[in-house]
Amino acid sequence: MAKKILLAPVDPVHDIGLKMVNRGLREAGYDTVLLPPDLSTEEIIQAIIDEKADTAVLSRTLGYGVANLLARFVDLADAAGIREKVRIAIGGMAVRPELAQELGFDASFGPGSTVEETIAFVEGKEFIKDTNLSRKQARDMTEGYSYKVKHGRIGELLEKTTDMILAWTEGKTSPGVERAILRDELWDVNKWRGGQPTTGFFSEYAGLCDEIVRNYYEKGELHPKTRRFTDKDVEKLRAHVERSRVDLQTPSIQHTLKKPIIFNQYGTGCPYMDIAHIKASEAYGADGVVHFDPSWGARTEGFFDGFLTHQEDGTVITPDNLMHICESLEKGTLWQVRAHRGLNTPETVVLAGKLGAHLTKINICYGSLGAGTEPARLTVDGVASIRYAAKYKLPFDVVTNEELCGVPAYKAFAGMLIVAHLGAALGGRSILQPLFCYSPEVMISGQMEDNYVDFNAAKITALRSIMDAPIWPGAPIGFLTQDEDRVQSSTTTALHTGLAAMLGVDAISIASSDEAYSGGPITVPSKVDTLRSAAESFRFFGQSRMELGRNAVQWSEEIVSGIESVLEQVVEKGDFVQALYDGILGNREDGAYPGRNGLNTVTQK
Amino acid sequence: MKTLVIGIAGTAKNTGKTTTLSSILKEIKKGPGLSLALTSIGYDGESFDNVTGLPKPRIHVRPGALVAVSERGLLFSSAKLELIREAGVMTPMGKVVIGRVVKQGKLVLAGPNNRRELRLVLDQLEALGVDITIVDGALSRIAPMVEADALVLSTGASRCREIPRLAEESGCMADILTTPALESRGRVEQVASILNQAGFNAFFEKCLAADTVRIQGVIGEKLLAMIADRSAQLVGKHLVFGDPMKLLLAGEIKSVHRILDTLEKGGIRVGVEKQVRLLAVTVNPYFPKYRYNKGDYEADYVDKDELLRSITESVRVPCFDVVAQGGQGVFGELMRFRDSF
Repeated sequence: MAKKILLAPVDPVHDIGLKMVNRGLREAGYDTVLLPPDLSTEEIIQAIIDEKADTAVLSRTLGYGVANLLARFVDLADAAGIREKVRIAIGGMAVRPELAQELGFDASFGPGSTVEETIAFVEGKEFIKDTNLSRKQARDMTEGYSYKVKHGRIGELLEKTTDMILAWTEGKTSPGVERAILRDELWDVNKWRGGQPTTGFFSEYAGLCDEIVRNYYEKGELHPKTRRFTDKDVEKLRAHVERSRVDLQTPSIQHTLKKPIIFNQYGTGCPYMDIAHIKASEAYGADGVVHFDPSWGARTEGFFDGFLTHQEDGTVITPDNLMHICESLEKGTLWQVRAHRGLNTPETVVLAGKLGAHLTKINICYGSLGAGTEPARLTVDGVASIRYAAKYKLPFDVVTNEELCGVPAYKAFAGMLIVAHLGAALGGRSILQPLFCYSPEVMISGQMEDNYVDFNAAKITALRSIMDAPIWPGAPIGFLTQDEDRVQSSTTTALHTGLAAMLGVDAISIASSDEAYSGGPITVPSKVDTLRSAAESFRFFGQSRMELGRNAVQWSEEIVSGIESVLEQVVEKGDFVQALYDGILGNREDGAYPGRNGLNTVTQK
Repeated sequence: MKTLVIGIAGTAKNTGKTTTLSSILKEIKKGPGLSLALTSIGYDGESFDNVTGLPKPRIHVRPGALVAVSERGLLFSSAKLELIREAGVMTPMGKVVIGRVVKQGKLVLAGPNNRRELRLVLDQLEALGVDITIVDGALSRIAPMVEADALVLSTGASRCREIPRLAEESGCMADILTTPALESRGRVEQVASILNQAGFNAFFEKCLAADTVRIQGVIGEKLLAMIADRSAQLVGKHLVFGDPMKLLLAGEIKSVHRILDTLEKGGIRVGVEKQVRLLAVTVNPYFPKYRYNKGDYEADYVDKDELLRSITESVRVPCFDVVAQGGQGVFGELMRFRDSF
């Protein structure tokens, strides 16, 4: 005989959740009685007795003083003797298992609970979650793209530029490339994971590093801003991850869309804190996370070793740090380790590949013009990096952060397309990453005086008309439109998310709501702010699409012709590195300065 | 010797149940080698309060103690257990398991949270041969505590910041908890719970026809007051409740106390089938104070000496401030009771 279930809102008004559960239970064949709101505790208990219910499910919107009300209900039911036969559960938006336990209920149904969970409870069975439902699959956003250049003249120019770069780098090497070769050939990740010595590797490696790194390998001296985690720290970290996984679900936040997938960055300096942030990001629907390393890491030849925390922004890249972070990730979480800008670019790609990253980030032009690395050095290292990215099957984005220095989009995009085309020629799979924000260019030129829509749409449209490649705007979207107010910051993130979704891009990176103004490590609540705001944006816009405005069309055409003109100049120059020095891809007036880190370190093999 | 089961019941959240428990544990550690078991009808020993976000006292357990805890609580505990058995009880925090502490540490204590399941667990602990089982309470929940042999009641400013009101209410509560046992006499009728007018009418009819009415379930406050209103028709009758907790749950404490007083004065005897032994009251001057400007709570205190003095004067059992005085007093009462048990 079907069990009888009494459903009662212990609430003066709210009963919508119970109505939905009631419908589900009835459809599943159960005999249910739904009581109206605003009954007293005594009336509900009498109804449980009169109806001879086997199970009672209550709901309550929790507020101040409600705990005592519910505790009295449970006590009264217990003292009335009905709990000998009737099992009682509580549901509601703020109900958690700990609270239900304290209040004395048999089970709790908080946000996200399903009718199946209620049925399992009614039947007295343990509910086993279908983990496949909440488990994400790591998706390759480059799948299905051909990297064909659709614009005839630009295609010809990119071919020539690629040939020019490959010819120029032929036979050249650098300490960064040599370290990557060692890391690729002599550093056995499986032996390392098994705790076996890799002394042969380190004896050669130390000689290719700067003094500060060499001192670590030769004298055991750590970088002054780092400390090694203790065994106790590691034990606590593992316990933290294990606890986090107990209830962790990885919800999809795109509502009915499949893309854009959402990335969040981490890089507090402390891998332990990063991992806590990552677990929160996963719980609120982030599809991927991006590793940010310290700025000194880009200027220092070589990597330290060991599980290290850093007292300033940016989490140090070491094999141990990456391994611990990787181990904390849920299986479906995409993981990007950036390698785009510094003296360790090729080795970062190798480490990322060996330690299980899904993505990396490489851009010769940005690294040379906006991030301080000498153009010749980063051209040699960049080509090697792309080859390793292809070898380790790591798609990489080509970010145009030089736009943040003030370089106009068309120049930055010309550089991005050069690297993307080079990537395709070397068997790599690149992702175009234009800025999707209030950049210095538009502040000066006024394209965003009226709205943030048209120029961002123009950029995406322009890139799409040139190359069949995935687009991942960032990084993060809405940058420089956000102020210190978390509501404002979340709102602008939501709006940029909506625009990106309507433009059909493949991925976006979102900032936390305190990212620009945190004055220190960003906080988990502010990460949750923007993930929630992005989710609401997806829910609001669904699969609706936008039409390009007149300005967007015009600016898109101007960007395409600007790119063509820049590429003509590069080809005319006949030397890619010199083109970087000469400002063709962004000059001093734009805010781009050829970097000096690694000057004179390129040598013939 | 039979296991002595001590319940620590509170009058509200943050009245000092866990602190009282810890003070007893400290005394047991110093004392005569008693074997101990612990469980809770709520969720205790967490780092931060589920509602206020303020730090909470943790429960520290030592090797050898038996505990009945939910699997999920163990995830948040640093103490390590040797598992003995599953208790056959499911809670919102997962299955309850019984284990022996093998590595000392902090314990999140979440056990059987209703009367029937508490009995199941207590029986299993007794079969494992412990001298004392302590059951930690939850909020102001009292019904499952009927399974304890004796109670310690924790009250304090978290229940009410006005000391005179709190003292008066504590006196009423202690009086109700110590309602005497009453034999049935003459013709006996019995009813389950009295929760509405129909239930009251049925009860009243039986009252008129019988000398003793045994009320096995609970009664609502308005309905209890209706008995008092008609007491003239019930002079000489015996009303026997299952236990004092059922009277405490009838409604607002002072009202229930007043109604019971009216019944007694009207010549109606009110008693219980199963008495509860109230060993002591512990008082806690702490309360979480809501900060309207910040939207959070901060710790605040009432005058602890005045609190202890006022409650001591209003209850007929020993009263202690275990933070100021330590646990010797409460433990002494517990041991005296054990000797007579």
